[in-house]
Amino acid sequence: MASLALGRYVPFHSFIHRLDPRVKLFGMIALMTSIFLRFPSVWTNLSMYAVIFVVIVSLMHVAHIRLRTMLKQLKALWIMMVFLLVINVLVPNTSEIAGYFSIGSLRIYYSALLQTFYIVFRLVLMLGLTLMLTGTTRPLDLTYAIEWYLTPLKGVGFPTHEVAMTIAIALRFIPTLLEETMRIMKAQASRGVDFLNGKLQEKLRAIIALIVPLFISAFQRSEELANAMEARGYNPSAPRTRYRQLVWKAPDTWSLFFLILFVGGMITLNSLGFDVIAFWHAL
Amino acid sequence: MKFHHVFHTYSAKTPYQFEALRDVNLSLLEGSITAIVGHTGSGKSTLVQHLNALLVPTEGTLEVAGITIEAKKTPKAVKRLRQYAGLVFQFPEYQLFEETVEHDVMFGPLNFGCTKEEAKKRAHEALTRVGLDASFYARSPFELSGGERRRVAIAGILAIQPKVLVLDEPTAGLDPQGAKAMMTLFSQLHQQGMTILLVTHDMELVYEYATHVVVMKEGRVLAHVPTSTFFETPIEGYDLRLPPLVRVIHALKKKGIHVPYERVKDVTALVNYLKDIQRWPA
Repeated sequence: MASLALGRYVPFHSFIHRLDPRVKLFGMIALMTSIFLRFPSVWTNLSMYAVIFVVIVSLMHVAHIRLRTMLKQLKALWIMMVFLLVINVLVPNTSEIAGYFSIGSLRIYYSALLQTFYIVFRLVLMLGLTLMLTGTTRPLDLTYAIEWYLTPLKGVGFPTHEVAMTIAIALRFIPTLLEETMRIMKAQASRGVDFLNGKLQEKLRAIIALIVPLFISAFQRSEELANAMEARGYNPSAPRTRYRQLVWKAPDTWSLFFLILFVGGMITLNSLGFDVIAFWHAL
Repeated sequence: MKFHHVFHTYSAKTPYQFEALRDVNLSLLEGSITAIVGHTGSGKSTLVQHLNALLVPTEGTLEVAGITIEAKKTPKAVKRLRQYAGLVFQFPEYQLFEETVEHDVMFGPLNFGCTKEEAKKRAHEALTRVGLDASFYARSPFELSGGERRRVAIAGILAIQPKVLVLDEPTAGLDPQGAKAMMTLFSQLHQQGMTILLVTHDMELVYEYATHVVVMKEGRVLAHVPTSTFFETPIEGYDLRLPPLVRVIHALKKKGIHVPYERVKDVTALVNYLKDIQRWPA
């Protein structure tokens, strides 16, 4: 059950918690981009991944997000890893390094193993980054940041405020719906539903017993909310003021500077065809 | 149903850590209507969810129906526990999902391994008990009124034929007549031998129906007493707001008129009692 809460805001007072959400949103996207850079040789790739790994893990440490608890909660990732491994192993692959070893009549290419490692590694880092954003930023602040980035589109008639409001409401209801889910699960468990064990058919029934009441209550809630908003005269197209303001501070500028430096550096190296081994020889 | 030093902590070792139960020792009486009272967040709901192992203690043990539930372990006999103690949550009408009332009530018995015929029989019995006749069987639960839906939901638990019925605020959101009818149903079930646990804020319900009261505060059990004691002697640390009827009885006592709680449960009974003692002064 605890894994349902993965990614929710945890109120600490770290440096990253206090950063402007706009920097954090930009940072997440920029660092994610750098994860997907592909360098020409294996060793360059591996060493670049090592650098990114160290950067992201130390950022996570600052943000009080523990890599170990994150991995522990991601048991589903293991299944995916095995799946990826099986798929990759079945496809002959010599893109990175040539050669293979054999188990019985099965050829396992070194590149296939490497490929699987890359994918899983990227997944873990991306999750870490996402958790860092959602774990240190209040959902509402995040919506403000999204709204801010969308502001230029207002000129071409894009409903910036409406989109931001929709996102804000959706985020607001995640914990409520989770609570509701738990409540209905408990109610149905009291009627003898076993959500964990049982045959496929029984599991399907269990899921129907959960989904139907959940949908009904979600629709009911949304209608109530819409009525409550209308009753208080909410008009999405009216000019609005805001209680919480985003304030840009010096640490935000510094963080943005280092982020651009890091990601920009990575991209430049990548486009120059940087090679660790050649670099080493040149030294 | 016995609790031995039961602790329950939610989200342990996180900033959200919350101790919902602290060292609960409690022995609930079979055949009673026990009311569990306490303010919001006092651990009432957490307590009752231990009875059918929806929650297990984080420390301590409990015994239900001869089964020992140990800390942090879901017992193997969990189905037997679920059948022994039927839990009716607050606003249970939200758990309905089937296309017809009949099928929804059959859902529980089928989960506990009844045959279709047996489940149908039990469903009809349970629906009759809650006062819904055969005209309701084929209707969709979603076209019923709120009160009727709640009856269907309660029938869904009764069809499991539990020995203990646990009710979390069963009258919340019902009109006075609906609430009265609901409580009458529960006292009938009690007379037929069912043990009833009632989680509530409503002191009038406690006074009228409960035989025993468990008082909770901040996760601890402050008292477990017969209802008459509960209304007679104030419990330290618990701020009880007496229902009007009890206040009248207390006022009469000060004037020297002793009214027995057990016999006077509502205004009519009080008036009749006073008339009686006027006619035949002791």
